[in-house]
Amino acid sequence: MKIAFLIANGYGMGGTVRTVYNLAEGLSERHEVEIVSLVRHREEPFFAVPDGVGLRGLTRTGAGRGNPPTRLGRVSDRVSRRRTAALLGGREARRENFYTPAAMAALRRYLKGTDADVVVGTRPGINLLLARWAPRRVLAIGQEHVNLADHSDELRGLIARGYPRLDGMTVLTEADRDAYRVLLDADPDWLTAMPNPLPDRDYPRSTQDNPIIVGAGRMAPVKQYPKLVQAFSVVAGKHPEWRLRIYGGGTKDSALRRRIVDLGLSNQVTLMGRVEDLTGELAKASILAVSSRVEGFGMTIIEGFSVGVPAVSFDCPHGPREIIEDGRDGLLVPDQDVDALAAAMLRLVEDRDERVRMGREAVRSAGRYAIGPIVERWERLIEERSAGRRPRRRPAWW
Amino acid sequence: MRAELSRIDAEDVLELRLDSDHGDTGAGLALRRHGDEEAAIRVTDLEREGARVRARLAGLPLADGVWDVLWVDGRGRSVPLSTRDTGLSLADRITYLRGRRERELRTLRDRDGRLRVRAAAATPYAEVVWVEVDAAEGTVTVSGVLAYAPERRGAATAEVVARQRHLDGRLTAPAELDGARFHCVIPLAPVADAHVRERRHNEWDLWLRTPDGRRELRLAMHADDIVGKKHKIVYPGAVVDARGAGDAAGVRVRPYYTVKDELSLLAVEHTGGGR
Repeated sequence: MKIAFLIANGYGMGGTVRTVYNLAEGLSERHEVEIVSLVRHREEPFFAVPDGVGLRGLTRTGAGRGNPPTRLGRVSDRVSRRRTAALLGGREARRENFYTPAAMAALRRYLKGTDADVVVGTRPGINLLLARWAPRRVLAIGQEHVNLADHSDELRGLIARGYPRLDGMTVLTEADRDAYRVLLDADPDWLTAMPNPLPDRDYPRSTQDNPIIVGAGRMAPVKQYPKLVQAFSVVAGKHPEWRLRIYGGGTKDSALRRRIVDLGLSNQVTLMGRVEDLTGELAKASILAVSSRVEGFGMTIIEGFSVGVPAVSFDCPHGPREIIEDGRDGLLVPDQDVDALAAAMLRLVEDRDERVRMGREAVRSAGRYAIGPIVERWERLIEERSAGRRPRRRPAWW
Repeated sequence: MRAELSRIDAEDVLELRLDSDHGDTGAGLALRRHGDEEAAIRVTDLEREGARVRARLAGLPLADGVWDVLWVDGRGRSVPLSTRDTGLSLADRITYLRGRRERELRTLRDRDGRLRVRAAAATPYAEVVWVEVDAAEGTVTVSGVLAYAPERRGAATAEVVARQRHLDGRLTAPAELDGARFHCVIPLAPVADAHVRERRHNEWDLWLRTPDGRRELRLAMHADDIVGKKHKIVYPGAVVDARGAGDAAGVRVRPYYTVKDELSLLAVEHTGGGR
């Protein structure tokens, strides 16, 4: 079987790209797998393409590829952009310059001519286009990496109208599956909660000896790192040898830097930046702490588990509750309760035996997300959706 | 072949705990220069007890660089040794700094799980453990331990020296030594007094001068695994008024790590705003 993943920019970095690469690698053991990128902004992709997986960019972006030179060109460009905005909603259509007129035309051509049996879209705009343009011979699956609640009202409306034309859909969590079922009034079999897989690697293992707590994820307000630092200050005051390391790219960290200085934690909190081998870094630590307002899924919790590091987390929507079993492989504390987060960290800081026990259970829990079982679930999904597909309605226009 | 634990202790003994007792009593270890098939060194001083291995690396002629650790079976065939251990123990790293040493050995685990040993020339320096900025008092306090310097006992008075980079400013303050530990309070008023306003940035590099006056050790933080601390560690600043400066603005001073992870002070003219 040939499976294609349609991705906005497969050459960049980021969570979606990484997990699509992982899944593609797993599926490529028994299938032909191709990653198709709407745009390509550089020669070499940020992540190494797994052996046996194809990657191609449909259009180039970057310097010298701006507005068309002729007046007619500019008019048709504007018309095309307006159509795209009507199809995908204004915000999604403007996203990162993924949906350029050239990319839209190239995608349509690709879908018309593809020999793939299954095409998987990986973000809402692409899923909407897939719903409209995928030929009937292709099984069209929409994959959502973002929780429904985080989409705009406009996009939710478009999803409600467009997604039912897909042959199936996957979301990351059961909580999100419930949300989509209500919106789409979908058949239970049509909509699957499919967690992101852990790639098949020889993972290191924490010895639980280093006095290090880690937080991981990009520098974004949703991660609420200032709250994490606030909670850590309780640990830092009682146990000066303990450190907090925050891993994550991005430059929007001025509030965080201020908080570190204001709380007098310069010696104990380090902003580690972005790293390539995150599991290698997590294994140096003893506890992973999650202070997010919302988690799309909680991949870092699973990565922490894979190296024997238990997690302490707010019981925030949506991921942590479905991954962490409170008291067994980590601690869940009431959502947004900073004192409780601090108390939970302190409990594990002061009890190495409990950390060791939880770390062992965490490794076991990580097994649920191993690539093998997840690939089998994808194969079952494809088989079931192929058998249960409905004739796709013709698009109203275009 | 895989190790669950792989560490180098303060005597440069590579300690391994293998995932099982592989039974092959004739087996041993070799180190091969990474990327150089030719340069391999057999480890001859080796003790084995079940799954535990102790290999003495102290006397081996290991050139600076990264070395792959190979498992050599009883018939002389070698395979790369994997490890589950990241090789980092913060406490062991501090212990390792004690005493004179020409060469520093560390275990590493690469992304694919291979065990490596990194050898690097070791020169004495002053490892920074804790930095406090007191904005009200106008001081920076630094404490830490002497690294790779001759062992010493008891209390003594040394000196912390601040040198103005690219200029000839030199300031000193007393530093206390207790065994290998040091502690010093750097007053910032003299830094403000010596500020050269024609230069936007005035950097002051910090050194610890030993009591015998024979050696100056650079203040730096190298013991942990974090490289490039400049943007990773954030210290507060203190605004200090320059003596006799009249209406001239004060000087804002804050500690920072250079690109070599050495501790310096950065002084800039204070342009208003919060102190």
